[in-house]
Amino acid sequence: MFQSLTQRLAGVFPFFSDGETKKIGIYGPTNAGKSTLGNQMIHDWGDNDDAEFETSDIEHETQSAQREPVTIERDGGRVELDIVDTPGVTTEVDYKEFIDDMEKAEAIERSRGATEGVAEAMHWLREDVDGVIYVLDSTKDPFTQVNTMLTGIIESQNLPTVILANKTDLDESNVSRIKDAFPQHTIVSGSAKEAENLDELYGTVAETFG
Amino acid sequence: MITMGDKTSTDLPDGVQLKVLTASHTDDLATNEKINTILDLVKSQRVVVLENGLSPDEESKLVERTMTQIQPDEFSGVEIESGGDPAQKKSGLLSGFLGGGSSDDQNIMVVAPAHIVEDVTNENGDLISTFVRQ
Repeated sequence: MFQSLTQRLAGVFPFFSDGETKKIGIYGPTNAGKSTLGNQMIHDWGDNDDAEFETSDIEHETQSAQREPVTIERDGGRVELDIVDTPGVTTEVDYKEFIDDMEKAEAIERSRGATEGVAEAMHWLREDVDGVIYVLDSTKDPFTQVNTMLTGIIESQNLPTVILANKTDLDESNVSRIKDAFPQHTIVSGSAKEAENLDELYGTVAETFG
Repeated sequence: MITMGDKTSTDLPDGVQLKVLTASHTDDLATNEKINTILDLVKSQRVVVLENGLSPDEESKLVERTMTQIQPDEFSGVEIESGGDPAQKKSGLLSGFLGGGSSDDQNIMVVAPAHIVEDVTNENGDLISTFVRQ
């Protein structure tokens, strides 16, 4: 299945790469599916079959920025990316949110890790990444302060960006309101969890960051 | 208790203070100074209202600094909301993307301690509301 995917995509989107490895941050609010998307990209294009970003239904599973190299190949060309999975950006972290799932000491440790991860992610967005894949949960309202802030930074930095309207496998998915919220950005809809429409995403990523 | 400059009123329940930072107060502050001022007020359980809100870059630095200040059972972070309706925010994103607009066109912004308020919400662009936790 992997070979047929790459073979199908190989001739679809010719592109030119400048030969430099681009550092592409996967950003977005908590539980939007950033790590799940990162894992799909690793599985489809990564060099290390054992690499995997941690995922769960518990918020702040990703505690620090994790980086994995992937190489997207198209029609004789290739784009080398370091995809950087970041913690979901939030303005508050309370260990009590995790008490139902773990002991207090562990919850406090998780919250401490989350704060460090978010701070690191904010710093990297301003200082370090070459482009952004912005993941949004298409079942939720995109007009949030966090999204406004992050997209504002992205645009002030003139960072090339691809928005993934994720979780289209869910009945509550509403991609049109994401398109209405960010009309000037390239938006691809799909499901990272179910690997739906990722071929379009990969082609867009190659075109945008290649 | 609401304070604006040197003026004070007592319209809010005890324990919750509103602090308005006027544009004249914040415009001359460096980014770090502005963020420290906001965080010091929020950590002392004041709801801060900024006449001129923060730029996205300033807001990201506020978030980054907030994360380093969080302490279990003492300070869990902030709630932030800016004024202007979503359509105007969208226009702002568009104007920024197209190279137009002005960084000076910043809406009013509310920054509140997360452990004493519920969500700060912008209702249709003309009302920012929140509930104080009991």
